[in-house]
Amino acid sequence: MELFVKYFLSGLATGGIYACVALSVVMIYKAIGHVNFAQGEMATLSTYFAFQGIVWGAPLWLAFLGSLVLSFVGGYLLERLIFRRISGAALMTHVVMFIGLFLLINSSMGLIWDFSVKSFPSPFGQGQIGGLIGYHQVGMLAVTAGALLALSIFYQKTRIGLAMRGIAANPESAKLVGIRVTHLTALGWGISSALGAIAGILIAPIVFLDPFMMLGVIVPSFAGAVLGGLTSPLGAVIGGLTIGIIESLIGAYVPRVGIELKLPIAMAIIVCVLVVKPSGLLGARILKRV
Amino acid sequence: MGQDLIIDDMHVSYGDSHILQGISMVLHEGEVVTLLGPNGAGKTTTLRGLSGLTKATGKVTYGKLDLLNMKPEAILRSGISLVPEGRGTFASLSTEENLQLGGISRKADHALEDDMKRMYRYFPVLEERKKQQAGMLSGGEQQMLAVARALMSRPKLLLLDEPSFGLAPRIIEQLFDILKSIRETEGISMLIVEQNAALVMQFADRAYVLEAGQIVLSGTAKEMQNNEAILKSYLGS
Amino acid sequence: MNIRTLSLIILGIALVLVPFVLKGYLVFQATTIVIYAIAIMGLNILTGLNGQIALGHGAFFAMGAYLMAITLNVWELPFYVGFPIAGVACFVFGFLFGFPALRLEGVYLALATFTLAVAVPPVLKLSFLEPVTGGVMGTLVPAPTTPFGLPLGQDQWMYLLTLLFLFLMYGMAQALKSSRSGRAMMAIRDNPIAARAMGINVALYKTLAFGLSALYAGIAGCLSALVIQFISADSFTFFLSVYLIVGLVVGGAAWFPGALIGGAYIVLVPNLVETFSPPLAGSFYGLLLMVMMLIIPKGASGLIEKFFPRRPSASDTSRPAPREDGGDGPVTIGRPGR
Ligand SMILES: Nc1ncnc2c1ncn2[C@@H]1O[C@H](COP(=O)(O)OP(=O)(O)OP(=O)(O)O)[C@@H](O)[C@H]1O
Ligand SMILES: [Mg+2]
Repeated sequence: MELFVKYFLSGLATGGIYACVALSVVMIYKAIGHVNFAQGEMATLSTYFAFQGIVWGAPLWLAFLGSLVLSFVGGYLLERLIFRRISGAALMTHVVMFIGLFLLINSSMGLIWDFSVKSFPSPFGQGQIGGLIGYHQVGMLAVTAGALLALSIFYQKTRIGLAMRGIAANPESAKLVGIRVTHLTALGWGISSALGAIAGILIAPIVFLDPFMMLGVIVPSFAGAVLGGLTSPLGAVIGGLTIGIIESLIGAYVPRVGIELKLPIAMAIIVCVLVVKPSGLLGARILKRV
Repeated sequence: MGQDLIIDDMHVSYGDSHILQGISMVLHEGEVVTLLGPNGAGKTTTLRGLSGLTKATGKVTYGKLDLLNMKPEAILRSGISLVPEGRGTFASLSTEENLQLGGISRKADHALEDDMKRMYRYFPVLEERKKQQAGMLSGGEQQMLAVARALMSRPKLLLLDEPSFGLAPRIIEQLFDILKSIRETEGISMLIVEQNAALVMQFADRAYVLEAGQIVLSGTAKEMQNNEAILKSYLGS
Repeated sequence: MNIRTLSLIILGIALVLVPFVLKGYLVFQATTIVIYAIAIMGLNILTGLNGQIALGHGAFFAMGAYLMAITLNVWELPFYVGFPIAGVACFVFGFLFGFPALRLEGVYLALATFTLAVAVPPVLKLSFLEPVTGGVMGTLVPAPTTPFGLPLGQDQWMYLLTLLFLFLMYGMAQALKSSRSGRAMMAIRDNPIAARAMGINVALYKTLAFGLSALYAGIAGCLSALVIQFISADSFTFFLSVYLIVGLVVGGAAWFPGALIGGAYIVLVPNLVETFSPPLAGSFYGLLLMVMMLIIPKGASGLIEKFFPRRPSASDTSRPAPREDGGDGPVTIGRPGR
């Protein structure tokens, strides 16, 4: 039982990261109808921003805050300057664009910070609570929960949040009621990218920082997003948490290969959800196009 | 003069097809004008052009403003609001949130809250359905919601695209009664696209008939109603 | 004989002469280019002909390579047996993988195949697969010796073998394109709903296209195992899949000879750029992809079309049907023409 609780909690903590990334994927998907394959690389880049701040001697909190702000602005500008230009273009254009962005960010990180694995400090320190869960994991849980809560309040209670939901519900009517759709779409990119930054900064102390850091995170996060239905923010959070827990429990209970199976399991979940119930747990029903 | 809408030689093309081929219309402040015409004539295209959703060329002025070079949000802020074809409901949001979105371009103050209450007075059924998902409302309720949503921005000119479409006769009458009282109390000008010519003619001051992208006829509602030939050939009634 | 056919024939002859003109490492590079071209041609079928988007063909490439290694090392069969085995296996696997994709919008297929691409190395490294895959360490692949006592060097022989496959598979792709099946695939690409209404079995042709493209990738993988003579999980990272896409875009989605341009691009450009710094190549690729999406609508085939204009016809694949909504039906790589 203790083993179960231990792995459940650690799965929950990792799941929080997946939830953040899944949510950032869903936010962009809802805004433009495409999956941002470079989402993980953007989060890694944000983590490098924080890393650079630390190298320059900034206090941790300042480095993290700086990274959040930079990521937000970066995400905003990325939409305004680049992705705006292809809005409405075919799926293939978007996919290739995202893959291009993936390569560009990934290699540029290697170019600037080289490919070596770097350790990244945890703001929560070392140590365990009752041998069950580490300080860092508790911190991860708290921060992700806080971020998700703040985001949900933003969407439900503020006028900008309402306007953004309006765009997702009916883009043309959103224009008709005077919402500046282009500005808010870019704002969504900014928020999504900041959310990715939070995930990157929180996971880096565990998996260490290198340009490929997020490759192991993005697939389970996609799995979480798909499980949640790809269009539902709540679904993304539930999906992300579920994947984290499943993964952790299998790692604990399946001898030897459990840990190696992390990615294959995430992939299997994606394929299964797509085959059995493409709309996931909470997503809008997907119209069969063929 | 004041806030007149003057459309002078407006053109719209989709790709190679030249849909609006230079239409000219005038709508004086306080007037209710109807735009009639068969399916595919370009009525919706006209309204979309006026509200900035579709790119149009030519010259359209509203007061001193040059509408064709303005974005939809700027046009809305200048006092023109469209009730779109098909209602444009924010289906996944609640009725209340739909109304809030209607007023999103305004400052959040008491006046906004008062307007919300006023809409519920015009359309009591919306208050009953306040918390319900707007996509679940009936067609008539959604049409009322669309009108109320458009009014929430405090327009001086309301563009309505087939408000009666798909509604039962009793509901249509109700809707037009409300439009009448809105006109009387708020002095809003209206440009109404309708298939239901007989009905809208009782309400409108003047009418234009659009056919294949060109204005083929215009006159006061009285003149039009008295001309059997016109009614037969253009209005199919 | 028109100018197109003539230039193709001249190109073919030039390709055959390559190993007798170039020497050593350059022949090896030429071989690699041809191998990538074969894999990219598979994507031409899937994306160009059928309008589906897949990001994970590195997985089928890897599968082909490993099956070749297993044929030689584990089953101890001659190398030419490896091709049919890998071809059939990749076709079947691709067919099966394409199956769930049928029900879904393109974005989901892209997602599923993206995952496939990322998951390849971890799967190949699975410890219980180690006896066949060589696990983390990888495995050596014995190269086939020159047959019939031909006076060819090992590298020349491998090049010509690879080229033979390129010709065969180019012929197959062309035959497909002008066959009923090919026309069905293109009809589906241009308008799935209309295609169904015409009585085309949409599901069948979509999975078929997927299976065929996997077969092309698998054969390319086989050849690559023989040429490089060593395989390990890390030869088949996510980036292999991505580079194939790069090649597809650069060469143009629906034009088969473009695959050679794409292959040359992904082999040669890193060599040029990497003399400065390896990651520069990746950044450059990325930037190039993005710029191409912003300015050149159809990749290199769009450029070539400028010089060899063809009369548009119903089956013209490089001319996507105009669409108002810019949806994901036909393959318009690039900006919508508005
Ligand atoms: N987005 C578009 N792309 C291409 N053609 C369009 C588009 N929208 C409308 N059209 C065409 O423009 C013409 C006019 O359409 P419009 O919707 O303005 O007609 P309408 O007068 O409102 O008709 P209805 O009474 O049926 O609503 C039609 O022939 C229609 O097919
Ligand atoms: Mg209409």
